[in-house]
Amino acid sequence: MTRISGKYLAKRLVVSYLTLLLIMTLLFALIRSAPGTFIDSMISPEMTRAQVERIREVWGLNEPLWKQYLNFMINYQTGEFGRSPTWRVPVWDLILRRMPRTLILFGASYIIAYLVGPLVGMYLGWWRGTQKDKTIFGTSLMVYSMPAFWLAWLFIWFFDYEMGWLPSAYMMTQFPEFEWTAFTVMTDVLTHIALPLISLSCIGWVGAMLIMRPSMNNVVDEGYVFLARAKGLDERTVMIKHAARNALIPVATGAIVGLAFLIDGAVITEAVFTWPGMGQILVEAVLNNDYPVTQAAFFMLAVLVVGMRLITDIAYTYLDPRIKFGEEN
Amino acid sequence: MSDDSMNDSRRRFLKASGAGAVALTLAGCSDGGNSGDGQSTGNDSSSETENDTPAQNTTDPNEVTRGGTFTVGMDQQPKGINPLSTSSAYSWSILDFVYCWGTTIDPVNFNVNPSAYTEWTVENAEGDDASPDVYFNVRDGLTFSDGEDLTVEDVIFTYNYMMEKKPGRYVSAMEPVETVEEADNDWDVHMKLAQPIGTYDSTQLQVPLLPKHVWENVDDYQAYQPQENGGPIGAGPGEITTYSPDTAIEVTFRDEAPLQNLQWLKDHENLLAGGPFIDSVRFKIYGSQSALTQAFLNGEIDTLYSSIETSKVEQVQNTEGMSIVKGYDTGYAHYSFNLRRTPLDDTTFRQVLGFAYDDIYWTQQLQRGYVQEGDFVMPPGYSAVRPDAGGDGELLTGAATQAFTFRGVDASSSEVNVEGIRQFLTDGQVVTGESGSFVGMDYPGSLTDVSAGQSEAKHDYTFGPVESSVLQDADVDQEIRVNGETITSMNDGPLQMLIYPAKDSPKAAQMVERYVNNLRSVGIPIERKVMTFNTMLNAVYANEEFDIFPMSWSSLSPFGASSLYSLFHSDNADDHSEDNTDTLLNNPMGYGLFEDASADDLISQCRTEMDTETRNNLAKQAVEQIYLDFPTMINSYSQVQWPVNSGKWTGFVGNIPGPGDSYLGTNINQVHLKDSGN
Repeated sequence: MTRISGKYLAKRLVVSYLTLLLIMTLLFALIRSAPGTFIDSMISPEMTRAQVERIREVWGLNEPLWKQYLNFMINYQTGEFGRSPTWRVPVWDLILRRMPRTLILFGASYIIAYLVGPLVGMYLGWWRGTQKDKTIFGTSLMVYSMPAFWLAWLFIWFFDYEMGWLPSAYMMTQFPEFEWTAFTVMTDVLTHIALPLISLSCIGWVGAMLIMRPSMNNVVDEGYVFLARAKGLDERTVMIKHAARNALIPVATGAIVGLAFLIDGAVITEAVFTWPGMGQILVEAVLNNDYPVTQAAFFMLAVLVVGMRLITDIAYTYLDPRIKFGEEN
Repeated sequence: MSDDSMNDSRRRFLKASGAGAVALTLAGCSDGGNSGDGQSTGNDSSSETENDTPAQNTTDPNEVTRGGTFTVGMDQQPKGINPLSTSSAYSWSILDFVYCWGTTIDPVNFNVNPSAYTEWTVENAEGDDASPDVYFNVRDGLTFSDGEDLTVEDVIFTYNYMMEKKPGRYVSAMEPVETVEEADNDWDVHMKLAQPIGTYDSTQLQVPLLPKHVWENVDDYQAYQPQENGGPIGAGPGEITTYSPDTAIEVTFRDEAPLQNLQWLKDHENLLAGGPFIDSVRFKIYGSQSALTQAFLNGEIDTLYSSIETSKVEQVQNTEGMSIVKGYDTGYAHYSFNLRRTPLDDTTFRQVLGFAYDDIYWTQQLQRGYVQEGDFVMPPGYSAVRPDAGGDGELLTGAATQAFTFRGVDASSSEVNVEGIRQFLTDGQVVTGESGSFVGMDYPGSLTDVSAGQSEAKHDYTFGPVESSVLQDADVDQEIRVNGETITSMNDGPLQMLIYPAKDSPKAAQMVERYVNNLRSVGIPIERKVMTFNTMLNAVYANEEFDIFPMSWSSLSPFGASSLYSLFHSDNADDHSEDNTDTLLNNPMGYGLFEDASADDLISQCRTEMDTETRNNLAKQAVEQIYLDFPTMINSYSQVQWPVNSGKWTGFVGNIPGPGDSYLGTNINQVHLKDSGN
């Protein structure tokens, strides 16, 4: 059964596109309002004024601002991100090299967080007020209050420095003394991802749980739950199929918002675990006023969030049969 | 401990530290394994120095255990491996092994020795209008890492390519070169210079040699990616065999390294010929300084690039199998002033900025004695060109080097001598080079018989009621007037001191707070402006938008001439004339552009002088002239603390400038396994 009309989908696509244009405009304005310019990192005291001017020319900074804006908008819509003045390579190369690593780590932690969090939230919401609820809720709030980097260092200290069980740096062994095979690659990545993943997941799932628990609690007394019980369905079915499904909608919204924090979280975690992803390079890019890399990273994030927002709207209709977008009554 | 109670003892320490610096003979190899004994904190630095003074190297290179892989950790990834477009020190720590140079500087005695060039000479270098002819021969038998021979053609191509493309790193070296071509006499190559350059053998002859067959096809050198074209290809001892710039890089050494087996190395008392003795060197990049330091302490890497953070020095020294190799700064940290702006255009006012800087607070309290108090624009390791070297053994501590040291209300106080400084200003005094007493301290007179460009103040200084808003909240009773006007009304704002974000440099932020408060207490309106390094680089060097800025120089020339010319000659200060587009931006202070603040004559003479001793004396004079004119305040020289895995490796060369960064290559060429069992 179609719950989204083609017309509505087209409308949403146009709105998403306009949202992206607006974000790009904001990005252009915000980054240029920061002190300095992105050629700062290219200027060396051992240059002549003519050479500095030449660099400004090459990077288009001698153009009027409106023209820079126009070039930026056109280039970004055609996927042309330019070259990084810091690393002297095309920005796409940097993104293609680093983004998958970030997605592997944060994708995994994101999946764990949104699998475990709603599940625990569902149980706690269903059994709200019990001793079990109070204990788990209290403990998870304590974990949630811990700074992520502090917890990460604690894990590194114990699992790597003290016990030597797990490596705390890189995504794979550098200069391995073993042969790379499909099996060794897999086990090596798994052992390297373990610590950052544990430290991210330890905190990450609580956010989802904190949304799911009250949401679940709100639906516990709904009529359709009462009806399901009256139909003689077992408690587990009522909880999962009838209550939890409706309670998931705020969690889905939270999950989209959570996407925006992928890169945010990457900045600290990747630095602590020497995980060679986008977060690490984004910090350096911002510090070096490397506009091309900074803009591209945030643009990619915007595309991700706007795209996921669209997908979520579609997902809503399947989560809650009452939601219909764009259908004529 | 209060500031006051610490000052007296710390002033005494400064002298001890300086005396230690005298003992820092540039004398060679140290076994890292022996250097950890008897060392504690920076408060004992003079004795550390003695313990670290290495013995002559008597090891037979044939008995050295060869093999193994030495691993260096870095906290930043290199910014590319294109030798013409990168000036990143991290990149060059790798490229140093890939390329070879015409000549090489001995890090122990600073002699210029043969490398890819076997011998050289200069003719027609006498007279002011001379256009010298430099001739040199290129060594036979050198090969690039792709198997091609290094030929005279490659050498000539390298110079002409650099002269045509003008990559920033080599602009200065290529600027006086008119032509480079095949010689029409018994020599291989003829280089025509536009003027005599006394240090031509360490500047013009010291460029990385490029393979013509690779670079002749490269039009846009900045966009060229050597790693995508089977490179970088050079005639150095190593080639890059692993290049994952985000995480790991490996340089594998070739079987033959002829440039490491030259006669001067065989004759050297402190260096071993025949290296590198290891199979390869690996560079691992870590996400943060903490992760890097911990990786070293855990034994994952054998050393880290440059110094270890001072709080970890003691831990390294107390850990078995780990040692600290000490070394000198190859530059200095400074605050520099914009001489184009009033009242910074006046030597009197600039010298006062030195009196208010609490060097004891910086060197002892904040840096825990791991830096030395600064004075001249040449670090203590480059003693041949320091005015205080060679005579009475008072390097760094002689009274003539203390002319602009902090002025407290008394010798042991951290409270700035407000009244003394104000009187210095209102009297219009200048420390000219003549002996005298200035703000409560005696000055014995210039060491090299030079005088400051000004003999009296340029402006009329008075003090009156506080008007500037930045001084309203300060504990100050009077504000300075320059020719009857407050600085704030004269310049549409107070003086601005550029600083780095406190999170990047917390100690520097603390120091600046103290410094600004001291200046405000004198009645000078000044405020801080925070910016990142790169932004500051642009503001200072490209736009000259600053009053006072802090930065550091490293890898200065031990011969003085080229560094003095680059940093303090008016040729490298933008005079903003319309037709001037080819001036380097090295000298943003504008020193040399003004008759009363210039060492141009001395620097020019020094640069063109061919006789070493005369040149060094001219350099010393220029250095002291700059000291007295005070366009820049040298606040400290670092004391390098390079940590190494001495349990496994030996052969480290200590007591040289930058043993873990500028001269990392020297150490990699020397390091070897302790024994075959390792």
